Amino acid sequence: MHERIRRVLLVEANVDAREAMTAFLEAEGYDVVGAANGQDALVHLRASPIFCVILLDLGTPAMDGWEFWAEHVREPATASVPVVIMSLEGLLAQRDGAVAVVFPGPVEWKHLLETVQHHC
Amino acid sequence: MVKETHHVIDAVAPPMTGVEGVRFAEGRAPESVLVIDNARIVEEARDAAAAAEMASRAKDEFLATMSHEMRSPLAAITIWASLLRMGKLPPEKTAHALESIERNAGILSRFVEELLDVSRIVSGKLGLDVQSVDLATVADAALETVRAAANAKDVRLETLIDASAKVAGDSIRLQQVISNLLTNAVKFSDRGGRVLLCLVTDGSRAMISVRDVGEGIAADFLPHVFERYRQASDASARVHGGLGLGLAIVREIVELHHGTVNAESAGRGQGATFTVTLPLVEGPDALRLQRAVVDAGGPAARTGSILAGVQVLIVEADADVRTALLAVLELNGASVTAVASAAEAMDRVARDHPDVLVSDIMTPENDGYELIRRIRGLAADRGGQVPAAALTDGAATHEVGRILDAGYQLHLAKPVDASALVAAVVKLAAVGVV
Repeated sequence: MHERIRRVLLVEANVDAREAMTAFLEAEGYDVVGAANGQDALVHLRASPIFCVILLDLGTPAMDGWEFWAEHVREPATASVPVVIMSLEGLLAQRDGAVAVVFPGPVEWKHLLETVQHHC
Repeated sequence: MVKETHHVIDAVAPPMTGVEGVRFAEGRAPESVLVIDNARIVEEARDAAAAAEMASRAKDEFLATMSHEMRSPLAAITIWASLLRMGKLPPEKTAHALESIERNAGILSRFVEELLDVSRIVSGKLGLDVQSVDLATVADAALETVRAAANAKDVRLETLIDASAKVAGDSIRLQQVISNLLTNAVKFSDRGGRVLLCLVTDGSRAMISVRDVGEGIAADFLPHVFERYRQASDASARVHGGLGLGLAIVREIVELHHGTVNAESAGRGQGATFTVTLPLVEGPDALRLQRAVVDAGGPAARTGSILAGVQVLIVEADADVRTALLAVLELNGASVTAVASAAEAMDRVARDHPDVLVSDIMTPENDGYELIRRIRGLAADRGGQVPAAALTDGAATHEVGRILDAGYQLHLAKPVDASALVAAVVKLAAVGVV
């Protein structure tokens, strides 16, 4: 069932931040699939849409977070996976009720863990 | 009458900006003689309002960019640190985590440095420590700062460097200029790309160009690349990271060096070339010489006319120091003769009757003492009473008594601070008058 999935899609351009968050979530027992940009993220998502949450940095190259998000919600197979936006601009989207959780500032481990636990 | 009305508008309009100014100007429009002037004022007010709005928007976007750019390095630092603290990291990953923390702290430090530089630029406090600078050395140091980033992207760094290029400038700031240009070139290069750093001279100028075959710059953005905050709002720049202040800092530093910088690109995908032009040090290298006399970090030689009308004779065997002393005193209005030996000095004293003598005590023949004794032996109307300062290598405290006994009024230790030299000559010239 949905609750049993412990697989996270992490879309973050900064390789150090991506590695750190991956190491952290793995230490907490999650599977993490990392993507450096929206394009790679879509490839992962289409290959296997079994994720409990997508952590999304909006300012990624190749395809930015907004474009990824637009594509993501258009595809029925993947649209049900909740998205957590990790950028200041995410606050605007949150106002529209489009996303549940936003990290506008730096990601801290407590918030990261609580958020992922909430969805997975 | 027309003139009077014109006067009122000119006097009132300048402090107004934006809508207020437009309304004011529009209210005056019916006066037919002033229609053209009013149209100009309206247009200027609109332009000013538009420019202010654009600047304000650019600043807002810059702040959003900054918070975004700081977020990822901070996330890397805090999450690695928490993993280390909680002991949840396998031992083999510890070194990697620490490296990552260090690297991202470095990124944040550079952001702070850039912000500080911009703040210094805005407040006009970006000072230069000017010395003679060997540009080839500076270029090599700048290349080292980007080598790791270039290697990581397989970008080949090629150089063509004229090793003779010397300019008067601040080597740290000039390195920052080249380094910023190279960083940009690498950043906007595709994997496996090439960056060429060229340093050439044409007799009066040094030209440093940094060329890449990467992303290029869109024609409509090209005129704005050096503007503060502007690049930060460009979508492509955001993708590549950084605060987008680097080029604004480059332009400011180059202009402080009396140089120019320009950007060329045939457009998106066509690569870009940035060229910095700096004036070469010509003839006797005045600034290098200045360093020989002026204490490192001491106040720079002030210019002025405090020594106007004062004739100074300098006796100094070292050509660099001699020229430096001459430059400092001339910059302050003195008319200066500089000679290398005591024999030449005796001729000059007899012929020119200088107002002040500044002599090195350790001339090659070690005859600074002999020189002053012989001068003091001359009649007053032959220059025998010329007030004199002795220059010594270092403080030479044990010699001060002997120097004064020999007939000098003052003693100055090398390296001589330029302002101390000027003050001493002022003092001695006054003694002469009395």
